[in-house]
Amino acid sequence: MLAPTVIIVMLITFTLGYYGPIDPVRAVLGEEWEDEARYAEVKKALGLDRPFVIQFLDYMGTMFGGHWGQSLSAFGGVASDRAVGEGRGAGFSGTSTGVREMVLGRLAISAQLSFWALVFLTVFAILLGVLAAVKQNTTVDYAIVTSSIIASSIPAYVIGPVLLIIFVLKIPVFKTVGGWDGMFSRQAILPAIVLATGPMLVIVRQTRAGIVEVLGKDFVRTARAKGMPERLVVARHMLRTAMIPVLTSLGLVTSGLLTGSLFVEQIFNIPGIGKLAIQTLMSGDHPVFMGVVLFQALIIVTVNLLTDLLYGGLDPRVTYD
Amino acid sequence: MATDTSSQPEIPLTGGAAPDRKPLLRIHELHTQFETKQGTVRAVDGLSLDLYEGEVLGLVGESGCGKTMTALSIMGLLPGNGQAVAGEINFEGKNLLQCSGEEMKKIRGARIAMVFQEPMTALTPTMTIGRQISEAMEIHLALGREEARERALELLDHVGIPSPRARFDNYIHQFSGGMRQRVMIAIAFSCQPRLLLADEPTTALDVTVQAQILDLIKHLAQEAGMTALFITHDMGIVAGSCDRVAVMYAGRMVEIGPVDDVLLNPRHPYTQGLLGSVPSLESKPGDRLYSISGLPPDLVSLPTGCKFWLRCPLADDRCREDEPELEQYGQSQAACWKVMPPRDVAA
Ligand SMILES: Nc1ncnc2c1ncn2[C@@H]1O[C@H](COP(=O)(O)OP(=O)(O)O)[C@@H](O)[C@H]1O
Ligand code: SF4
Ligand SMILES: [Mg+2]
Repeated sequence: MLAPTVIIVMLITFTLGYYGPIDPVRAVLGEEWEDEARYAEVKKALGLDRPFVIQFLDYMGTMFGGHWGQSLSAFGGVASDRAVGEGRGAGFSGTSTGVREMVLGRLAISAQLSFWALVFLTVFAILLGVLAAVKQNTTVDYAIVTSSIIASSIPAYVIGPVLLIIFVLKIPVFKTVGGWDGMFSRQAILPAIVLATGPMLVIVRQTRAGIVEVLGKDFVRTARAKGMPERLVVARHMLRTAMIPVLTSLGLVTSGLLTGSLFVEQIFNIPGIGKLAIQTLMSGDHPVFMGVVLFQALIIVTVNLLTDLLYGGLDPRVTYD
Repeated sequence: MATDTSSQPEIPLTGGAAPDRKPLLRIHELHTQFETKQGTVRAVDGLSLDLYEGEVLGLVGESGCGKTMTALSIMGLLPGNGQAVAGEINFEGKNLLQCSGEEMKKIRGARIAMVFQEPMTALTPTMTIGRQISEAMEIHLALGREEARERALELLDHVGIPSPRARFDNYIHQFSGGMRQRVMIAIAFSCQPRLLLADEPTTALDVTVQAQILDLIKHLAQEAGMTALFITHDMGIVAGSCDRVAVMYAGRMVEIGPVDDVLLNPRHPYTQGLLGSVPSLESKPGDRLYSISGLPPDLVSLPTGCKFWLRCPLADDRCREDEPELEQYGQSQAACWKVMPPRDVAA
């Protein structure tokens, strides 16, 4: 199942990249690109003069071969500094110019950030969702749902700076404004919270709906008829069933977090995969950008697979054979 | 003589129970209502009923007459829009309707257990059946997890589940309807409650399994000297399993007495109608047996007088205006104008 999916994903990303707006030759040459001889020379060096099919096969070979090609900075590295806008050249920073090293290195950081965001989500959003459901149609319920709506509708690029102002400038809980110092550093807390606010509403709502649906079930009444404390009725008899739809959302959210930490990484200046995507897009570092896109697509596929496997953990009726 | 159980608790009408028995549960003038868009549904409307230690009382009546809501009122587990608005349910010195949530949790499962009608939906699909049995014992009997597990295994064996050790970690989807009901029964008996409420425990099962489950409940209840309220709409089950029978109609009691007496000598036309569908009794000569036509009344706007008059072949003006109360006839009680001896001309 995995292999054909990967090939299709590769074909799509490659085609998009091939016909897309980034011209790698121009990125390498910078202002020199108008020189036709130089242009043709670099194009040939990069192997871009070959037919589409050959290029694609070559690309697949590189990818399955495991080293994923080289950043354009390996080809002279001149152009990077002339690339557009801010954060230029960042894609070329570091010692390695191998696409795999760059993508994996950045991904590790994004993964750590996403992990915390996911922890916040599963702990707080699910807790709030359960609470809202149990206190259905009371002020508590309305307060939780309303604040989740607010939290999720304010974009990260608004919440981020606001939190920075509050917790760095006004009440200096955190000393530095951004950057990354490992997942167990204090700097990881704010960005993870901001990252978690976006999908918050989805999870709160799903959890609430899941629990509300289970609330009236016969088996919940049976659990109560046994005299079980309400806390155990929820935890043992309701949560697992209610979590089945939530898991679907959590799967989508997880791939979303890993691939969409773009704004958050930008705001908090975290060198994650989102930031790498923006930088390479801006600088025109085609091979790295392609690596990022392909990798993100693969993450989504993998997370979906994992989600399917987790269903089995939640629902005893699901079997894999 | 009109007798009101409520005003004379010191000389209670035992409704056919042995006079030396003590009541374990006393329901007095229970009113359970649902607030709906259509209005107030009077699901239980002034029901009084005593359950004596060690007896098995059958509670019968057509679907929708308030049997389940009576049981759920006792358990304090009415659905959200329902409430026991008036009356008393006395059990072991407490009025259950006045008990706090915490007090009820100590009673539910431990002192009063309930077996539900639907074995397909009444057990949690995401929890092993073993844990569903053992968890209540951990709470009520303060057993450790291992002890509770051992007891649950014994219970599984006792209710007739083969190879309990292998079955302990199964989920309900791996069980047949009858097996699920056995698990329900194991749960109900696990904490040795005093009172068992069995709400149509065999209705949803195959006919072949029904008798086995019935026998199992009877056997276990007898073994434990348990008092049981056996809800059913099957007169055959009443005949085979109960000591006394109470007949409900539109949220109230219309007849109660020893099973033999009520089944052979039904006083209330409604009881007679219910029995009309039992073939073995149909052959009895000289009886006015018939099947009831029509539907039960709308519980939002009940008719005046006897609630059965719309469907009663004997109804007259008095029936339409005044509601009869329960009165003693021989060993049983019935609420019907037409069985009062001086007026019982139609019989
Ligand atoms: N949640 C509810 N809302 C409104 N009415 C209800 C609700 N549950 C039960 N009822 C009504 O209460 C009456 C008694 O129901 P029930 O006790 O379940 O009858 P049964 O004798 O079949 O067990 C029924 O007429 C039903 O319509
Ligand atoms: S009181 Fe009248 S209407 Fe009611 S059951 Fe008796 S005879 Fe029928
Ligand atoms: Mg019922």
